[in-house]
Amino acid sequence: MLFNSLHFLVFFPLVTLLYFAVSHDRRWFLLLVASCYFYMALIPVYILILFLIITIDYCVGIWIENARGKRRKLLLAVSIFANVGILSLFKYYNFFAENVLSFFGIFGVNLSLPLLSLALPVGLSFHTFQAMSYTIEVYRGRQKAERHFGIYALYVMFYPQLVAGPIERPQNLIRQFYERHHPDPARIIDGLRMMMWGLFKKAVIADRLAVLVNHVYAQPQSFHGPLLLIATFFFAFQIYCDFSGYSEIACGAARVMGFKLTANFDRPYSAKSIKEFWKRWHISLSTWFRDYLYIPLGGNRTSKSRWFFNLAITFLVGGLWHGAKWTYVIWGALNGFYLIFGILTASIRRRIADRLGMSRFPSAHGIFQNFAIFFLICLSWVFFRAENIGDAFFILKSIAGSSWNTGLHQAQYEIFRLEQMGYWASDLVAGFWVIGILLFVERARASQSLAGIIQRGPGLLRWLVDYACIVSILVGGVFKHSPFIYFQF
Amino acid sequence: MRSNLFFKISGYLLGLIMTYVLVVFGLTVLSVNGRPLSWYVLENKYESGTDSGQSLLKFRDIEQYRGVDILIMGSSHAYRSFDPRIFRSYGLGIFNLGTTAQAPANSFFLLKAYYPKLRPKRIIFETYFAVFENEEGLESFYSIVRNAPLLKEIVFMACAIRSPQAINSLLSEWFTRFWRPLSLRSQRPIRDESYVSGGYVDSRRINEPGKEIEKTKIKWGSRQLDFLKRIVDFSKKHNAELLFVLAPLPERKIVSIQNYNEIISRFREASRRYGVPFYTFETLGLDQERDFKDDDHLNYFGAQNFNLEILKILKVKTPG
Repeated sequence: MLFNSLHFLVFFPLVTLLYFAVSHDRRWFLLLVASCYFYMALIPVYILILFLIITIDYCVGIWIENARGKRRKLLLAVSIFANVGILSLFKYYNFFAENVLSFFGIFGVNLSLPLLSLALPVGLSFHTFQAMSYTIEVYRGRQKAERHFGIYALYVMFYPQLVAGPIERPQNLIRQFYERHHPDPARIIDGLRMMMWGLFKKAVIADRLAVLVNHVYAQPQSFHGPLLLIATFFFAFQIYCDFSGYSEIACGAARVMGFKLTANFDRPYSAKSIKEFWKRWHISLSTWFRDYLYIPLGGNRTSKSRWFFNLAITFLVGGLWHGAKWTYVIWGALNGFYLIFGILTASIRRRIADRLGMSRFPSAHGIFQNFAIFFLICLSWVFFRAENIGDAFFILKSIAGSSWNTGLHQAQYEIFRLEQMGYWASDLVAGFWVIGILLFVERARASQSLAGIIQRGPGLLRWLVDYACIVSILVGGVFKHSPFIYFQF
Repeated sequence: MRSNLFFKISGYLLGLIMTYVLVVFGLTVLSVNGRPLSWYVLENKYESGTDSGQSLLKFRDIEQYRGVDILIMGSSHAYRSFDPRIFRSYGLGIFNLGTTAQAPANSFFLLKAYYPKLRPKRIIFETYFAVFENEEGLESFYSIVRNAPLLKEIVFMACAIRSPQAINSLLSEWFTRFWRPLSLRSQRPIRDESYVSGGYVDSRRINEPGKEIEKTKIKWGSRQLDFLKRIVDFSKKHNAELLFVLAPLPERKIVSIQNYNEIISRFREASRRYGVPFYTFETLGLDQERDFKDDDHLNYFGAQNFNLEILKILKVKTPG
């Protein structure tokens, strides 16, 4: 089920009302049934895969707690093997097989490997990672094994975050299923406002920007530098609003019922370094990799070369997590490279900044850093969004200048051609407008000043702000059955 | 306490509805560069009297008709394939209610709106499969709402589409009609094309030779199939004979659709299930350049040949 569908508009209030209507000891069951229904609205049969993962990790969790010595490690390996195995089968097998075939093909060896025609279960990467965090935490002794099968199943399946996160830790979520939640009006309104802002980001910003991005990235060879640059710029905000919009709706929906999920984004494009960007972008996944891959590999408390190796591995796996395509691997590698290069050049950059006198103007320096980071991130988004590596390099080459001279003249013709496909120049301008609105609102929310004025102001002012948001969604939203981008992961 | 909460929620919702109506009104009234703001903000970019189906003239024309033998429903395929002049020469009165991208959801409500006036004995539903991909029927609605009288069935159509954009478009058009009623609007002429009374658009254009069409696969939307069923039920209820007809297509178009055979067999299956005859003509041996205006639609010459075939199916005797 999609958050931006009519189906959810009926499902959510109904489940919430029932949640508060039933007694506390039956709530887990209600949420579990609702979560199953939510998931089965997509591809019903895949609930069996989810059930398999849940059963394995539930049992392994208890066995790990009861086991001693090496057996614990072995059981953890079983859990990781099962989760990664299922993920690999559905997500990576064909990618691996195709690459093996092409590799041997280079040497004239004709291997035969069967390719699977399996559709990827929605959100598989999210719930396998969440399930693994449970067994790892039990293994580390930071979480007691959950004995109640229903509660454990709900931990993996809790519908607001089932298909696209945030990837929760058991310490945060499981205990909340035992807490009694009362219908607190202030909290409910707070949750609904989060959902509203999330939907605004998705329907008004992300899906509006997506129209141009999809046109341009479908056939990048038909466009020159300027439009390729605009489409990439739009994509940076599309993916942010699409994913953070989903996360806000998820957190808001949980909040209405009394649950507090992990915040997944913190204005990532205001970052002044790549490290800061990754602390602000998809926080639940970044911290997952930090805690369960990067630190176990040795983190930064090791030799410099090993540290860089750890970073590179973490980012490569992070890229691959997003999808079985070389473009994602390059995207991950590029981000890893940025980080390592940033560490290596930190002192040189500081000296250059001092020499140029930039350190005397910290805010100007900050703005410069912010722009530089945004530019680097946009470069990496080209690989993330492009259909293949060839397209990505073509786009980068065109933006960098090879066709820029004629590009400006061509842009007019290209916009005319887009108009024939139903994308008007006014939509292009509207794209910049909605990005402006996003930046203004996010800044106001972060600074607390405007948010405080609204919060403390008269009720009518709060209503007007709500109305502005809801009416903008109704009037300016794009409603074309567009799933969230991160559903495919 | 409870009644206080009830009044608060009611007040909130009432305020919200009023704000929404006011915003749509403002967008309709205010204009930039000669276009209302609604054109820039709302998704509906259709302007009255500009669509290639010449719907403005069609919905004016339909007012003159009372009782016809055959009613044609469907997309641009319908209004470019059934020429009332030929049917008239065989003594059959027809009206072609095809409109741009008309999906079964749109056809159903148009049928409900105009059946009482036209009372056709036969209804031909042109089953151009691409419209079945369109889950909402929004594109067709956009064109209808700009050109047709805002009857209650059009309001129901907007609700059935289940998209706020349909309601926005309906409301905005309703406001516009206060100072720009349909009677004051005119159809923009389209080169080499003319409207023929009875709902047909006569095109003398010839398809471009040697063009290649990108290969596609048609996705089948379940929602439009539900509406197809409702059309079947409606026809049965009113004792009107329903026929599914797929007008001829250029050969290269058929080749470009990878799942063409699968789609045709789906229609055959639906035809068997509903007890409605289905006629498909493939290319009908027509010339893919001379007899078509483009890679989707028949031109005047192609329609002549096709209509003679249809008349054979309807078992109409040669005039004179």
